Amino acid sequence: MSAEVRSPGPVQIEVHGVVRREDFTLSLDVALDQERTAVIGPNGVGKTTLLRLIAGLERLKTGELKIDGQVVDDGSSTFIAAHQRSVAVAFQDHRLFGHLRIIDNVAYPLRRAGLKRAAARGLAADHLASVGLSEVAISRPAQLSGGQRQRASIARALATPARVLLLDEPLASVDDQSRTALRDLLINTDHRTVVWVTHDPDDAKFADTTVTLPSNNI
Amino acid sequence: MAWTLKKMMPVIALVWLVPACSSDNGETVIFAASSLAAVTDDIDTALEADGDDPPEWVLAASSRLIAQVRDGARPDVIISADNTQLRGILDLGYVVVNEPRITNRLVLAVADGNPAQMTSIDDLSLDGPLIGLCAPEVPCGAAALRIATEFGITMRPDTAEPNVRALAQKLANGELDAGLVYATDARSLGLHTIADARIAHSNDCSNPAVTKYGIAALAASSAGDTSSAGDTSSAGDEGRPKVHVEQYLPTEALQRGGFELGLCR
Amino acid sequence: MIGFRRAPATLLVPATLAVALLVVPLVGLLQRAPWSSLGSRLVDDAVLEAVRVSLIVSFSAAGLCLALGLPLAWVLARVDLPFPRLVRAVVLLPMVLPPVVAGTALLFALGRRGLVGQWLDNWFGVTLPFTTAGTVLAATFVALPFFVTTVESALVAQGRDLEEAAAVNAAGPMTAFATVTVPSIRGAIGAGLALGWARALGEFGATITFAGSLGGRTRTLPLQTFLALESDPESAVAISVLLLAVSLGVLIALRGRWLTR
Repeated sequence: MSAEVRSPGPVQIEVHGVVRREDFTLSLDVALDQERTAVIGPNGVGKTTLLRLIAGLERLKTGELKIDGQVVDDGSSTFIAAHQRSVAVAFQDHRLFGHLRIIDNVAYPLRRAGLKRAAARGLAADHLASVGLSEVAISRPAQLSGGQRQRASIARALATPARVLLLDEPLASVDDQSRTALRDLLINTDHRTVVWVTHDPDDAKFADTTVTLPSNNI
Repeated sequence: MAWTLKKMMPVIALVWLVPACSSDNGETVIFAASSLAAVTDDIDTALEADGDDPPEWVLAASSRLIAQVRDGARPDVIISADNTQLRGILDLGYVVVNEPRITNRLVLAVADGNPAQMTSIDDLSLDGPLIGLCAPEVPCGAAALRIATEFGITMRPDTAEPNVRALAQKLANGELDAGLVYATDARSLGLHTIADARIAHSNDCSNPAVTKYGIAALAASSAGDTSSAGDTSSAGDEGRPKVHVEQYLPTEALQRGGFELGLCR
Repeated sequence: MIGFRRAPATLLVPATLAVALLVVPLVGLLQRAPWSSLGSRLVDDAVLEAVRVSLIVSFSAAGLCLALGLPLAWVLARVDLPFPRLVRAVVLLPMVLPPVVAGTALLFALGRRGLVGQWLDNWFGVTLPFTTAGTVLAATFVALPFFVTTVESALVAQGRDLEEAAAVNAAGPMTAFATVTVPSIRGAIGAGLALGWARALGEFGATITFAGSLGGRTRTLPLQTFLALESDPESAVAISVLLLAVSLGVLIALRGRWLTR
């Protein structure tokens, strides 16, 4: 898997456009061209919205979103759905699948990529080990602590064979001892591009570049 | 919807009428089988033409009427299509009235335009047409069974309805091709009927198609149970109806025709 | 939870009255039940035939609820529909519609002379009234809203979070539906199936109006009960007790398994 993912250079991501929801309008003009980008800024300026746009969980009202030069969202007819964008996300809330064991949660994206169950579980076990969750591999999410769930969620995002990894403050609910190790994992992942929304200056330090929102807020 | 309302009416009527009938306002209450629904208006008209007061009619399935009497309702007269069940209330202060012998009869009714081209009751044994009968548990179904036995017809119903009205309704809206329903229901819904000489005898009590209504009336002696203390009745009245039943069932008018009911001797 | 004795009487009294209103008719039924002959009345041929029809009809209706209702619940919960309130009201209608009206409506739609039914008859020679399939249809009509509302509210409560997580893990919409959405609301699906099944089992008015009543084909237990009332009231009570026991069993199992989750 990793050989395929480790391709030359970062993925170019450009967002120029407007998002409109019931209660707010957000104008974005952001170009991401580094391997590791930290996105910072006060609450409510649209950091999460930026990630959701890139992931394909939200649509532009007007404008254009390009990933690696390809228009994936033009605010009207063109829209590449999330599952076809090769983008992984670690959500702020863990969003683990409650009906699956932890190992099968992590194996989930690998199964979607076509791996057989055994092979997917093997790789998933490695990812679980890397976040220190081998012991709870066969538990269900409800049996884990909040921090453990967040780590499992990070393992699932890391296991996803995608070009881009989007991180929405994944370390917010993780205890201090684990944080440094997890930060290392996230920064040294095989994903070509990492976009990391964070409040923690320590996370931002490792980034090649920092984008501060609002970029061009209305 | 129509027959839901129809089914509800006796209940609603009961709630308001039963207390009224035990008071001394002189109104006669008649519980009647719902197959008589089609003729009560005609009877009322006939009575009014003679200057008499029409009774208060409460219409429901015979078995429901009997159940209501068991549960305490005390109508002056009960006209039931089910003679057997009527016997069950004789210990509640009712006497059997033998005259007049009002009858209803089953007719072969067909959907509009007779799509299955039925010609006689023998066609009720055909597999093709959609045929409806009443369930043998209810009087109209018992009569259908009698016809089948008497004339050796193996009837092939697609439904055996617990209620003749529902059966007639399904013929009226064309969901069934043919069925045996009461002449009164066929008339009130304007159903087309196929004449069959074997069952065209409304005044012949021995014909299997004919159902004789059983009539019971509150006995004169038991009137004291419900009326005021001043109303005393002599022991000689025992076994005689409190009201003159024939007055409310004008035999002459019935014999003149125009009703689907018959009279048998 | 507070102790029974500490509950305010102003709430306790009407609550008790409400329970009494629900329970007294059941007690009335039970005290009329012919307990000594209950068994023999239930193994009567006509009753067994009705049991068979009822089982076929109620399980088929539950199956149809799953096949049609699950996608419908998802659409209601997830898709931006035009006139969403109207659509929801239409879906709920069979819950409040008098079943006889439902049966009449079905007749006008799918009966031999009905809006759609006449084409079914002319083109395919299919007539639904007076068939077991028609009985299943009538039962599904009244059971569907129970299933759909149960599942829809579970979907709404769950939100789109997990489906989004599946999407960014490369699961297409149908894969996400099958591997994430459905398994994570399986409790509600089970509860909806049980409710729908119980409703289908008890269905009377729509069935008698739309599908008629013929032993072995369309006469379900409630229809048999109604018929027995005419000739053998004790047998009717016996069947009622059976239906009551089954329905109560389903609801108790539900309460324990799913509704408290």
